[in-house]
Amino acid sequence: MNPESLLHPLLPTQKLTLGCPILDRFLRGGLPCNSVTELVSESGCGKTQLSLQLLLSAQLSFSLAASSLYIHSESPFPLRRLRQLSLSFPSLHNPLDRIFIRPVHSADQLFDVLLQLDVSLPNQIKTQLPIKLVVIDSIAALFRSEFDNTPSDLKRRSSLFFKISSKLKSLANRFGLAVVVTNQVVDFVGPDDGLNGLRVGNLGCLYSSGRRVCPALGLSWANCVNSRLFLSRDEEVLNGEKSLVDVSDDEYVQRRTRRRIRVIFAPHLPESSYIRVIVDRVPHIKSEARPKKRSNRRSHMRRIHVTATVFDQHPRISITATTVALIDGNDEKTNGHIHEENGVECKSFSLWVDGCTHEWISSPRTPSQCYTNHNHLQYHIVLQHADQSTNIEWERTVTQETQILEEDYVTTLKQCTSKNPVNLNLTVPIGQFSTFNSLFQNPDNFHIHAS
Amino acid sequence: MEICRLPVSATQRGKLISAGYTSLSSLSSVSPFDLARDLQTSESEASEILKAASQSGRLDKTDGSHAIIAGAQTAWDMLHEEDLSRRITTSCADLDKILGGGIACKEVTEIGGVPGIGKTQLGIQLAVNVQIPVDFGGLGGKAIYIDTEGSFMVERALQIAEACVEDMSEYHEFVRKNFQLSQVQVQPKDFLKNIFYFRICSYTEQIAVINYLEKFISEHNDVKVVIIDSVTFHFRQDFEDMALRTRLLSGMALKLMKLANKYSLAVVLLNQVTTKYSDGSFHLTLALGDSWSHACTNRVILYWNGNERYAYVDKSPSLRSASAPYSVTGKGIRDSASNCKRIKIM
Repeated sequence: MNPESLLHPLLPTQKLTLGCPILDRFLRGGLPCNSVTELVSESGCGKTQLSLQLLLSAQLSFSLAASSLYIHSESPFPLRRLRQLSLSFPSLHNPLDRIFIRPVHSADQLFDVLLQLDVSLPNQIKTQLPIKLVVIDSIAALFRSEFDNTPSDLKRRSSLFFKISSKLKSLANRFGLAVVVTNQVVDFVGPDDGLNGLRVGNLGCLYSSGRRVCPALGLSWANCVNSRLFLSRDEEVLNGEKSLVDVSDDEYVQRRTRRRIRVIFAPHLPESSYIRVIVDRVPHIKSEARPKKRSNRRSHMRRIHVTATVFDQHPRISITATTVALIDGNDEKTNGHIHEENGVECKSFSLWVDGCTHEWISSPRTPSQCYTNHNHLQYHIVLQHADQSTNIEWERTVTQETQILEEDYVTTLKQCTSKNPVNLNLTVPIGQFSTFNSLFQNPDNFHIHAS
Repeated sequence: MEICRLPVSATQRGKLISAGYTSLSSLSSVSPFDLARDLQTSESEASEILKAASQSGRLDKTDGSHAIIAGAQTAWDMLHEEDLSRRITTSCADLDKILGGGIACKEVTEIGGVPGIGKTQLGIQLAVNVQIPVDFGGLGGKAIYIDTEGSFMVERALQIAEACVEDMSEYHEFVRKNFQLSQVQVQPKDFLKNIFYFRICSYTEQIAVINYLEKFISEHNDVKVVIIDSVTFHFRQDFEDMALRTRLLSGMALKLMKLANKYSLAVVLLNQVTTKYSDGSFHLTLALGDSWSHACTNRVILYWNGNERYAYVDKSPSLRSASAPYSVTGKGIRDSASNCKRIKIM
């Protein structure tokens, strides 16, 4: 029996991306492996949506590159939705082949399935991606029907909680699994100071759809999970902002459901919350990063034409995140335009940059990323060569005062790469923003030609 | 220890040796009367010799030789020793204050609270703080972290360690400006290296690792804190036989107390809370039942008071019941934001 070295895996815990750079940043890279994460929300807040997206994003090569197991206890499995979502992950080849689905109908059956995993996980077919993600959707449904409210039943129930959670945690630890469990909420009635004067986590009083709620299954289950995330939604009427919004643009005055994700508790995350939206046209979850005041935004925007040039084949370029969110689908100017260059048809892609204060965040795992929230944006481009001999880093902080000139950026890029350059034009599929990352990781997505 | 090193007169020493008392241990179980008879001296002289023997025996106890009453210490000595021994700071001045300066060595401290209150954070903080070098008022020890819940995050530990190094260099600049002494040379990664991390997946493993600790600590003498996060988790499932559970738990507690005493290290046990049903109503209490509450020397309960986190000393033989606010920040456990005093490393 020896202690594990904390230095040996010098990388931080492996994280499962949520398929959205901003949410990933919020969660410091995603959901941690070797850990049980609980998603709590009332129905219709996107628990299942998020779980389905996780099934797909787990397969991405820069994430876990793994298959996943989906144990569901509620309604029939939303196959069509999964299929629809899978279309927004074009880099995956037959993603549905790597998602295993298992229905369970009782808590004991769930435990049996977990016991089977003990045997089946080490004996997986080697050619297949290993299972690294287990989603249980939902744990609440199993426990909320089966048990009475008598002390003996409650005791049996909590014993079963600990049994299941202990099994999950030991599986997670043994095989490096990310375990995601979804939970429902119960309405909260009673005095302000929490249930029996009890308050679990950072936000004792949680609101969803204007009602006060708290996670189901009580205190003992709260002891069983490592992190708890809370999803909520509120119908937002945008009346107050209407005057500021460019009314001619229908897109910005549409009714919007605001969905929020919060950390209730987690060993590695501070108390915080983030707004995200599911925009219906875009078939998956992504963060809201669009500036609120559109009319205002326009005046500060500059178009930046990125024609990145690199020396060699297989460049690894990352222009991530928010740029992504800013090139939203419907804006014709940002979709990129097709033009001819040296007789080759290629699609260039442009970024809108708003003039605000900016923030540079680098994370050790992803070499270069840029992120935004409502008024922050910075992006960072790294051109890396196949032989890794040269890194060209280009980063820029844009502030309100800075007058940005399109040429400015382009020339900076060119200066970096003046030696025997190869023109690289990036083709970005419209509306595939959360897979942006994967897009750049895959060299096939680049059209490279010598100029 | 040989009798010849005993601080008595040469004639007395000669008499002792000729009477066959060659080592201190041979004096340990003899009465003054018997000794006086054997040495053919007065009884008062014999008791003088025994007193000298008992004193030198105690001074020499660290060598492992036998004292007159093996293992016993006077309360005065213990008090003196306790004054000398350093406590592990929690990095929160208020919390340190109610704990009498921090987590005490040679004691078992239990810390409990609802999920999300910061038990694990406090655990990681202690595992880092125990390593603050002696020059900076710390213990300069190492930590054993036994994780039963899987909540220990390396990146979080690194973050806390970085903040600790930062605080140390700040302190260094503040205090030693006039001295040209060594800079802070500890790296955050060194902190991680000195945390021995055990991940436990069942209660049998937990008991096994605690049994193994004695051997481990005897090989790693500079371990100054053992943190179990949480002691509860595996004991809340699957126990039909509650008497067995009580036996296992009290056995474990005994072993931990023995370790704490023998190697003068601090044992910190993190516990969960549960609802207890009595007199027709539910109220909150720490898990593992009434018999477990005897297992720890100190018991600290963490709770929410409005939007602030508070710690409350629930049980302690030497500290009075008191509560103090603290907060969990990006840097780890710190003073509560409402009374923004600067954190000092003592």
